Amino acid sequence: MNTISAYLNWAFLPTFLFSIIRMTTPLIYAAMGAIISHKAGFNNLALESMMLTSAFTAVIASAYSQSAFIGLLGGLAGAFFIAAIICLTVLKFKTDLYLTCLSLNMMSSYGTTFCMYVLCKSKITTAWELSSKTLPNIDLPIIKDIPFIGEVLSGHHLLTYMAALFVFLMWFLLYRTRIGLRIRSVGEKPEAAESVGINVNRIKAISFFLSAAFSALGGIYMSMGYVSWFNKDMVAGRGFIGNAANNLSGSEPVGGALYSLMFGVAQAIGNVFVSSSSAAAELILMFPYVVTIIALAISSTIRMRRERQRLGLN
Amino acid sequence: MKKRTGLSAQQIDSLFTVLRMIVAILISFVLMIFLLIWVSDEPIEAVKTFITGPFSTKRRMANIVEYAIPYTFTGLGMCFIYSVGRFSMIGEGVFISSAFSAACLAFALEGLNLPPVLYAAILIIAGTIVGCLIGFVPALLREKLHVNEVVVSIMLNYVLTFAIRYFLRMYMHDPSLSYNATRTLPKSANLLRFLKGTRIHTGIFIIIVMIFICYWVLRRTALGYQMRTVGQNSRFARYVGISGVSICLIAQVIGAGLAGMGGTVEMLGLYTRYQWENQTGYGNDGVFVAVLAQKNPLLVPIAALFLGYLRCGADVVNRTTDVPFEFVNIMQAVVIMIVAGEMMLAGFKKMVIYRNAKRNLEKEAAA
Repeated sequence: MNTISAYLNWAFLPTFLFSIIRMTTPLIYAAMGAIISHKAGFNNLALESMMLTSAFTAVIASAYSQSAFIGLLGGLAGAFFIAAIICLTVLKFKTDLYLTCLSLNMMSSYGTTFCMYVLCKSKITTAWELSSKTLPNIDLPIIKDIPFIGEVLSGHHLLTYMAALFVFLMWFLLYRTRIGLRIRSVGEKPEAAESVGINVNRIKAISFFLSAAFSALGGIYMSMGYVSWFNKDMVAGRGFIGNAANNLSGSEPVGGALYSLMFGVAQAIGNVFVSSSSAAAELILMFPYVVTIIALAISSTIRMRRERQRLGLN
Repeated sequence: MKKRTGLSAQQIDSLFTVLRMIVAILISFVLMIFLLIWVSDEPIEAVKTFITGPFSTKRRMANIVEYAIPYTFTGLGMCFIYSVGRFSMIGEGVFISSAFSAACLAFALEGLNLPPVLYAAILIIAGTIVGCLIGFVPALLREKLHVNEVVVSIMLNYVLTFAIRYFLRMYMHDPSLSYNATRTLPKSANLLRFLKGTRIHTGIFIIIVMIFICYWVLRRTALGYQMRTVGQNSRFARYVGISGVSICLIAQVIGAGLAGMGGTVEMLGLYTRYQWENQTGYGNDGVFVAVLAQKNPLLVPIAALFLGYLRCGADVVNRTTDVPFEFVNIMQAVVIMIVAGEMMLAGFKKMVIYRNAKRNLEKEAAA
């Protein structure tokens, strides 16, 4: 307990809050990716695969070009590749979406490992040799001088600030633009959308590619900001946590971001305490996943009850 | 062509099931050989080792069977889960946690001096029950609360893995070892290895019995029929009065139980201690096996043996050449996508069924 209480003081608080924001960033991207495809009527369970692939391709691209920007493009290309496979198989060859996503998760998990071995010529779990350039951290001009707030809010990764921006852009895209309206109508009633001349498959493909773009940013953050290398299975279920945030928020961008923050807190607690007290390290690492399951169960219970009341069953 | 005239549409359908499996196997071979040639510095050698390697020694041939045993268990489990149209990935977590709980129970019962067969039987049954209990969680959340079973099961797999690591390190760890594992299991708990020079164990008899039981349950009982009906058309199932909720629950619990049985058998058969700290991948392989076998329990062992053969070949390649064995897993994912494509050979199948029906009619008219 001594070690834990050492962390429970005021001097430590800014570090902890800073860590929360750091952990939340990829989750927000994952949640946005889940939301946009869910709005078009799909549960994108391949977020994990998209994030992992883009994390990998970003490292490769940036390690070989020695440029962070090329790395960013490489990461996007990786996720688009996965999205293209999904669109081709699900929309054209009518495979089962879940099965496709699950097999893609498998493929990217082993595929990245395979490519890593081949590129590094040795069997390792972390590609140290392929160290990536990172995108810059940004000091916010005025805020960084404010004592407490500056420590928490300033000096984050570029993609962290962009994540906050994207939450509102996403809201704008969904509710204030033509394409957003089309995505929502395709998700709610594809037949109706088709009857007014919307190309349903094209809209679905667009939403998948947008979803891929978001999850790619999440993956790029993992390998070009959070750390600067690629690690086997480094995404560690974050894509699925994004799916959970989407379910919890009922596919609303702002709500999704807030739930991501909740999961970010759970992960930050894990991160902070795992270094201090190793006795129960695994139990602390387990915490975010337990929180996810419990949160899903609670929110669904509430939703089901409300639904029943609405239908007058109770 | 003459032989086919008497066939019904159902028979053609099952013929196509086998045909699709064969086509998928061929495609996977082409894919892997392509990957090998692409990656390897000495492609011809690698391809040769990959294809003939598993049959080169008696031990390697036995390896194929050893690999196939857990694949068959998780594959059978996935057959049930997949039959009701669910994609719970809980097999992965169940596999290790059932084995771990069986190991714990083995140590708890150590003092009783149970006879070998009974000891192993108790452990396997316990492992199966643990599997069922764990499988119940995502199934219940899915059927009662409509929480996506894939998300829950994968989160639960992480939870189980961490929990096992914790208990293994804190309570069950053998301090004389440099790695995390339990003490050696009691000798009498282990399954007998009955073939000299191989590690093939009596678990193979359990699996043969299970294959037929699963086939009987899925294809010959009312319960199995209800499962398949729910999986194919849940609205129709509700219309004819089948309770989708309980059928789906039962199927997912059975599926997890089979994975748990597989984990326990695997540990008791091949290992002297419990030592899995990470997910083993057998759960994912179960998906591949079930998809390749197209949910038919009788085809599951064939799919499992095929995967065992590939793994064994990949192992040999991994050891003797410069290619890491993960290429098999990449192929697995691709094949799942290809076989899962309902469209695969669908046009051809329709054509054959149509022609056959037409010919049957003509025959009837002539008679």
